[in-house]
Amino acid sequence: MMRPLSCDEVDRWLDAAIDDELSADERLAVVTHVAACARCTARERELRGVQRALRDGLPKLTASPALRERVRMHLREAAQSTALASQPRPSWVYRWRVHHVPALALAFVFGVGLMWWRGHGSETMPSVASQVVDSHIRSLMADHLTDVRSTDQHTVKPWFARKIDFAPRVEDFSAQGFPLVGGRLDYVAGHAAATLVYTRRAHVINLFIWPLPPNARMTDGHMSLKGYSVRSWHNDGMAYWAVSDAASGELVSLEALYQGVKTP
Amino acid sequence: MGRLETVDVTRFEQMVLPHLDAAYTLARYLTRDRDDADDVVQEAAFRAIRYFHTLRKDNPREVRAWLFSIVRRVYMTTYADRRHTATASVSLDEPTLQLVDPHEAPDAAAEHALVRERVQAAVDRLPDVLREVVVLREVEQCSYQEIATITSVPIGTVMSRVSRARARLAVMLRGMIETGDMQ
Repeated sequence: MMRPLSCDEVDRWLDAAIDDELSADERLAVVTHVAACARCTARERELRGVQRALRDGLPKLTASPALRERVRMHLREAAQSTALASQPRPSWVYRWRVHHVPALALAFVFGVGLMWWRGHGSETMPSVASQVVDSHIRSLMADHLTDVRSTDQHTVKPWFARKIDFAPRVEDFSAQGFPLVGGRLDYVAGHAAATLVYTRRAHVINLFIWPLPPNARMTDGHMSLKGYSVRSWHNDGMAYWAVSDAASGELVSLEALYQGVKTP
Repeated sequence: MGRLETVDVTRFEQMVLPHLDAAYTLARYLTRDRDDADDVVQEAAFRAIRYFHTLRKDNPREVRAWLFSIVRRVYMTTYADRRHTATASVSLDEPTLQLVDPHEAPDAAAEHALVRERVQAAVDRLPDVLREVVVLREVEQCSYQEIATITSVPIGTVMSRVSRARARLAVMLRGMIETGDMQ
């Protein structure tokens, strides 16, 4: 048997008592006090009333069929893309041809692009894309999205200036629906990269920026990899790689914002 | 190519998809908006698919808690900071309670709807950390231990948040809640 409780102590324990989260001893001590105390009896009634009102007033809800279908579709795509990635080449070519005629056309375009890139001996889109996607996934999994967390471009830009030997353009596009969350340093595809983090509704966008090596050629493009959209462009000697699971159109919008905003 | 684990579609469908409605319920009460809730749940489900191979539990309650923790993280990292103030001030000022004419003798159903409206408006006005505890406890019937795991705080913190939430709601709903012993 526990010692008698004060009203203050009962106040701290009453909710847990109502939720049946106390040990038998604790519960007995609370009940004993409440039975003999008009104030705490009234308090308990009030809390139980609140609980009843909540249970009655907050119904369980149902995900829309459209949402459920989007999730199922993504699940099938994810299963397919991982299966493709782990299978020998002839087999996945075959499966693409059978199941995804439009995807085959897309693969052809990438194939031509790939040959073009290789022919010019610079960074090939698939290999860099794969590395920026991996970096994107790592940033989300490790919960290490930002080194400097700020929505102010004038905080983020000087932070980079102390860490790297180039000056990335840092823009906050909150007004256009792409708020800047912060920045971090990455090492991607052999480059020190300034990474800017934006959000677009519930989606995170990582934008990797590094200087293009002298004489390197880079062709701008778009691809999707492991369920992520990747978009690359270049401007003023800098390479830009944007990665997100947002719809590819969102990355196009972000690029347009970057290409359209001129720094003085 | 980075290494990527194969998603077991059937297993995901059996273990995670049954909790999609619960995930949506949590997201809807957190975001207080139908479209935002859709976005949050979609993003959370996509992450769940991606990290499914890291899940080491198969008890349904634990799988549900895992999905809840992803939903709240998506919400907290992308919505919480910038949306709370604006939404709270709207629900404070708007006279949302005039669904029923006060001069008419209200029948039981109308009165019931009125009570629901007021309860939801009161919950909407709670700060994020209290609102999520209320939804997890009263709607999803999570134990304190489950809430502690989902929200990554000690169980003592859960206990005090439950108390603070109910105390605030008691004030907001005063005069309306049944205080008689009905059970």
